[in-house]
Amino acid sequence: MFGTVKKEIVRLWLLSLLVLSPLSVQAVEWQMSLQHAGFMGETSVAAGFENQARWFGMDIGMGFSSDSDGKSVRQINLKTRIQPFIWGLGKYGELILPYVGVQAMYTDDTAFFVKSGNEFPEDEYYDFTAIRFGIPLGMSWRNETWAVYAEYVLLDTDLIAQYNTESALKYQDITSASVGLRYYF
Amino acid sequence: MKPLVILLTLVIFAGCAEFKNSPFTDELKTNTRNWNAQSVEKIRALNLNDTFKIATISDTHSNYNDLRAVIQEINSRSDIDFVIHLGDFTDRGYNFEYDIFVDIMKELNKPSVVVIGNHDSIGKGPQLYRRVFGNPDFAFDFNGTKVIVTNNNRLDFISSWSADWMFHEVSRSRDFDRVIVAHHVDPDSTNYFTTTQVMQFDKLYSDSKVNLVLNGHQHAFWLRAMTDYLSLQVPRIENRQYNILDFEKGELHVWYCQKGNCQTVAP
Repeated sequence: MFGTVKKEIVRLWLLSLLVLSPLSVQAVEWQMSLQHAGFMGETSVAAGFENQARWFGMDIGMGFSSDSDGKSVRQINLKTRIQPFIWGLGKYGELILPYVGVQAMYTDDTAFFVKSGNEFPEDEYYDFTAIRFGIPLGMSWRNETWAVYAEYVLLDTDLIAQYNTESALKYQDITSASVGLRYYF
Repeated sequence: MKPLVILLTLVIFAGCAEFKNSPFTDELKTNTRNWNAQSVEKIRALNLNDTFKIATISDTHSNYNDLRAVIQEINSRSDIDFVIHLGDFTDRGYNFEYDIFVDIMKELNKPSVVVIGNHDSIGKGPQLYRRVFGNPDFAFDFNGTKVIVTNNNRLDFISSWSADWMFHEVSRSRDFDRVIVAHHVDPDSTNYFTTTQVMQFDKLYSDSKVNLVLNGHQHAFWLRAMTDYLSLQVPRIENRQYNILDFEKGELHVWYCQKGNCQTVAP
């Protein structure tokens, strides 16, 4: 399924997961999530955890979209979030607002690449295109077992373009909304 | 009450931006299709004779400020008839880059044809280009002038690229008074082409009454008199650089513009 470079990336992500897991070694709250959009796929599913104090969360999963000809496009997603503000709502659960994170999206679609193909004069003829990074800014509401969340996501390339053009781009052009549902085990 | 307020807040929060699924698909937000074919119809409707002006811009990448500024300059001039963009309007050929570019190009009040560049051919770029602009190889003519636009990003289409269409189209254009060939990569690039191909291109242009060959890609302005034709390398748009091809009764004058100042240049 994955070439050598792609395997390295998957290993890197798994390593990140292992390195960060001890943060919550005392007790973690495991979770599954289902998300729409936010550059993570038309539909994405993920598994992850939040640490006991719940200021940190991480998800790893897959996203599924399709091209105009119906061909399926897969991507692997990794998302972390820092949740410094948790507002209690009594019997109505709690509001986590706002939180911020970092997400990485990787596709194994061969049209994209981490290093340029053999036909090009050098490996770095182009910047890699199979991986993109994003910054999600979100809010969520949760009770003991469920959470719903909404996020704005800004892509790394768009952020750079916005900086270089001194904010010439409309924010709706360079951000994506996303909504998701999270289940806590 | 509180859950309702929260739910409402969530909806408002998510509603302030569009849902974008993935940067890795050929999904577009814009509904624009067949851009080049529609532009060609508008150019034909101008009924141009042997006196006309074409603005050429290239390698706009994500220099959106400069692109917008040049569009304003071109819009303010009533003497420019149409525009050729010589490709590389994206950095990495992503769907959202196509959307942003199309959105900005719609501000142009002249017809424009857009050539596919190598950066526009990365990832799903080829599909995106076809969906928005149409076939990357096309030609049009008006009253003795023929413009041939072709995809010469050989390395980016390494398994499928062929120069046959261009050779055929150029070869059958001998009856025109003026023939302009527009592609993104400089045809003497030994990075992109074999030495044999470079020689074949030069022979084709020399032997086939091609008057002017346009390219971008190298980001620097360069006007050269080749054996039997003129070669114009259009600069990147940074610092509001572009060229104007000024045909006056068939005679060509090339203008180089930068930061709002234009001057005629000779090879």
